[in-house]
Amino acid sequence: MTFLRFILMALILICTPVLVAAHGSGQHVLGVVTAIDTVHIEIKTPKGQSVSVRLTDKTQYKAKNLRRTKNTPQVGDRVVIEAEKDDTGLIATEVHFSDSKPKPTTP
Amino acid sequence: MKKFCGFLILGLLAILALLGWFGYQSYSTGFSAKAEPNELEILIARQLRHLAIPIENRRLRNPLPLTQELMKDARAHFADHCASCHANNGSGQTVIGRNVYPKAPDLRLPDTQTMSDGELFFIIQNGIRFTAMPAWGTGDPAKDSGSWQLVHFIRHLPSLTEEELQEMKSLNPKTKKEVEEEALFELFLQGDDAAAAGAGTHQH
Repeated sequence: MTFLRFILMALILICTPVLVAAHGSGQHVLGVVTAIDTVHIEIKTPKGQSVSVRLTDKTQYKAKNLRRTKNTPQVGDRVVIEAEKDDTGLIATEVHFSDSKPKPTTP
Repeated sequence: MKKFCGFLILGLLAILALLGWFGYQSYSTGFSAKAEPNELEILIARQLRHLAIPIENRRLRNPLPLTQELMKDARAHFADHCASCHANNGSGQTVIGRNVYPKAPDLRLPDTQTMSDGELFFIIQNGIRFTAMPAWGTGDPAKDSGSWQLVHFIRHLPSLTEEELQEMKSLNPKTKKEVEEEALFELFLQGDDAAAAGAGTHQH
């Protein structure tokens, strides 16, 4: 019986090696939409970079302070994208968007 | 006697070959947590987990009556304690859940849903050794009733609604930095460009 337990423990130890918490790939990207279609969204970040993020059927869209009726992001909208990074690039999980105009900056 | 020894030697050789194969598989992946366990490993690990749960525990039924109030508490409990690995919807699709070994399972699938109440409760209470699943049991039956609430919630996962998910999202633990960042995102969406400079991009 002890021998059987030993074998079982050896199996468990070898089956389930080591627990390592790895770094993940969650990111937030924010900016203004410059292009959008069914599979990707391109945004210009405040630093002037152009970033392309893939859209999938699992991507969720959340409108904030939207003045128009169409409830999907459009070119010119402000977006905050929650995205995951894989080998092919960024994949949007959630797109928060609004059509707010830039607030005037105070001198 | 000779026949018995023959079988014993054959059995030992088979076990050694199996161990060698598992060892090679583990070694060849560099013990990376990113590796996917193979089918045989999954089968053996699940069988061992099943056998490790005492039969009297396996047969336990959830003693708590299912009420809306209980489910509300369970959602809050799951969002606070479990969602960082299992995700609010139980899919396991979180940064941690995808990168531990073995990966956090999709709790909505039959592998979990077909487990008995007692098995689910036992796993929540005792965790699973050599995995990322911790033991949440305190030994205090009053406090451990939270685990029975979670058993009800796990059963509900396949039919979780969007409203419930949104409620849970607001209950997920956040760091001070995340709270500040969310506020900046909100300001940016309201048209405040200055907020963007403070928020930048964030990577976990």
